[in-house]
Amino acid sequence: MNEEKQSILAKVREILVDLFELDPAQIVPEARLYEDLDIDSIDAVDLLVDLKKTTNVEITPSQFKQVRTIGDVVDVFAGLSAKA
Amino acid sequence: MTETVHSQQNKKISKPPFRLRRFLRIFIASACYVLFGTGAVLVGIFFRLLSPVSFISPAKKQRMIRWCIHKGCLNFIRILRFFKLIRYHFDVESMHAVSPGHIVIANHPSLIDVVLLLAVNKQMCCFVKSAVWDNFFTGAVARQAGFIPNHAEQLLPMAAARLKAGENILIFPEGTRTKEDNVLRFKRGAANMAVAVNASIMPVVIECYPRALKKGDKWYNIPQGTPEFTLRSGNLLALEECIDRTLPRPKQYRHLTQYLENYYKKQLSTDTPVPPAELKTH
Repeated sequence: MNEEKQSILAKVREILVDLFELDPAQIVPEARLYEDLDIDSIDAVDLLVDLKKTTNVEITPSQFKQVRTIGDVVDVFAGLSAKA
Repeated sequence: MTETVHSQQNKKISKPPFRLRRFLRIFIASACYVLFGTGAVLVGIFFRLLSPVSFISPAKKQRMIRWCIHKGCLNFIRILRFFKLIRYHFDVESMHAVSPGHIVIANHPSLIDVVLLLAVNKQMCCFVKSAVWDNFFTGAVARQAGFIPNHAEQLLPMAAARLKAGENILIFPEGTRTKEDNVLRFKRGAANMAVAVNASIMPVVIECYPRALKKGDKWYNIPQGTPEFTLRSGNLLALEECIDRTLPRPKQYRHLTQYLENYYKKQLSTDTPVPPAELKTH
């Protein structure tokens, strides 16, 4: 994982810990959102709003549907900010 | 309490031949299942025939069918009580005293919880699964009763509209019946909805002793003693009493779920109602 992804991961971790009261140690790239972190589709909507605010990168609900793990979240954001 | 129940059971066992009693109860129970199914189908056919009738407004049809459902459930549990298959006791004055337009929640120990709740509520909106929604007979009933299919995309806006129109919506926060271990595990769905539509919550505590018609129980597996159901409604909970509404919503969902789970755990472990202020953890 390169430096850029590391920094995105750090940001994602910060948001998830704050928003969903999770343990920072749980937020690893392999962690699955639904099964391991108990984040449901309603939470995902709130998460997207928050990520959009803090990162200025817009991600659509359909893009987010493909996301299964924390690693996927990081990849999506890395891909989007590369395009921007 | 357990001692008295045991002595009652012993008395029953020593009276008539036990096997015969058991056989009779299973026979009556199966007859009741048939009765319930037949009733549902008859109401379904009646309202199916009524559905193209245009001079009765859909709102009127909805009131009529909910009245039918309510009376049907009430008479059904009376029949169950008559045959000593269940006993029940309702203490739901607080639910009838408040104005409508709130979410009714209840724990879910048995198969007939929804029947009991419909028997004490004249006009209540339920969520139905797709198997019920798509069925030829029950589908017509569910649609015209204005129930909400639980697979609907627009679930939250639909529910919000119903609450605003002054209907009560029933949700079991456990999502399914309580497991054998009697441990309550609330899912976040009820809290998600309450926070999203800013609705007050009317908690109803259902107690069933001995446990009967649990998830996975076979219908003919009837407990020895007559199960006694108690429905007890609490005070209407405004969200502000339960959680900090200024927090981000995902936190509100979680705090409210935790609050409600604690509420039920305390209510089920003690006979005296706990004042809501003592439950506030956040």
